[in-house]
Amino acid sequence: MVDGFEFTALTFPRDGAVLDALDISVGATESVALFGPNGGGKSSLLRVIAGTAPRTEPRAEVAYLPQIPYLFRGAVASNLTLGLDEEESDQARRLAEEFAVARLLGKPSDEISVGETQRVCLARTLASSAPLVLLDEPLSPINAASRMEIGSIITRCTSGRGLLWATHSLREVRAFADRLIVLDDGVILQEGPVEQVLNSPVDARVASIFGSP
Amino acid sequence: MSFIFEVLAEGFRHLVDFGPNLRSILWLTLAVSLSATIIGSSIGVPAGVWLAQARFRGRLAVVTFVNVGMGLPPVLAGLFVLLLLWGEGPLGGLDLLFTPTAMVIVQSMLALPIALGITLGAVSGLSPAATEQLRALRLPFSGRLRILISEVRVGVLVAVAAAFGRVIAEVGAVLIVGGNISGETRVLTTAIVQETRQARFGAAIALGIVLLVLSTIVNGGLAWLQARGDGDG
Repeated sequence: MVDGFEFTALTFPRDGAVLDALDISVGATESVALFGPNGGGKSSLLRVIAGTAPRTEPRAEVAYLPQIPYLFRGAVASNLTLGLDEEESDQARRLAEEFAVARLLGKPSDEISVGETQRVCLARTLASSAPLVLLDEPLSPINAASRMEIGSIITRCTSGRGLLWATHSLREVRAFADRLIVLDDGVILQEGPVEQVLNSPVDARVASIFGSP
Repeated sequence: MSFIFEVLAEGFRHLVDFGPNLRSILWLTLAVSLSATIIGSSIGVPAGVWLAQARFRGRLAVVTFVNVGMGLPPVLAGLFVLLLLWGEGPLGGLDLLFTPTAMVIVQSMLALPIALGITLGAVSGLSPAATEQLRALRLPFSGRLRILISEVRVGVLVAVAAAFGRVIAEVGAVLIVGGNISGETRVLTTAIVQETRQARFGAAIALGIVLLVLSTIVNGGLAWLQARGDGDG
């Protein structure tokens, strides 16, 4: 069991979102939500930690799901287990059942919807045994009626692991996060336990972000 | 105009009289061009995939070098290989000059940058979502290579077809390192030059038609593969 994850001096000097040498931590079993307006640096932060941003390397052993779900050419089934070992692949197939996409496994990847693509990508990412999971707006492509259910599965699958995820929904933050980081212009404006941050914004800027994220 | 028609008619008469000499030229052309395409593509396609994803100091210089290679004058490549394989050259002891092997070597050199450059462009044009997802998966190079070739299959087929087109139509390099020896290193393009020099235009036209048909058959096969690839999802 790892103690937790400390990331220091995170920078990303491209794509308009400049991270201002951020320091963040995620507890070994903690769910930390990144919240803030578009372009505030949430995705950049996740990409820098995952090592997918240009000239970066992964900062930890992570399972990372980018903001835009994508399946490669071929059957959905082959995408589901991509990069996973045998045990993880079995878990991915179980999760595909839970995410209601098991019936799609024999289909070509370009014949399923964006929401279904996201469910397949979520099943693959969560099946990884990496101790830290990074999810960029995991519930955005999911239909509104299923978001809470999918969010609960994500929470269950990441219990005992670290979870750092970006979202635009305060409802999702309240339901699934232990701690909240408010990010804008590449700067952490406020962080702390969810209810504490939501009930006591440090200034008008944070309050306005909560008002209209 | 009557001269042109006479030459064309003579060319078609030569086609009907498809002798064993032309047959050996045809097979050697096919063997050399396909071998060079396979060798050049086998190196160029993976190298193009790698270069599209790699980030290192001097990458721009390497890409520029590849682009120059795509337009490399065949006679220069031929001269370079000639010097390598010449008796006193570094590889002179191999005794490969004026053999089909020498022709394959030089044509592979011409095919490689074409296959590499076009693959590089195809992979670089992948959607940011695909690139980000692939990086997120942290696959070994062999796994990334398989996925990327599948994703840009049309670009890879274009790369292979262009490499083949480059080598089958090429004359300067094979003339220099092959020597256009009848029955040994004479291919369709060098044979056309030979016939033209001797004012046997009808024979040259016949060879040109065979060259076109050969190129059409191979490119038709690649187009079929491409259509098949598009159809299976």
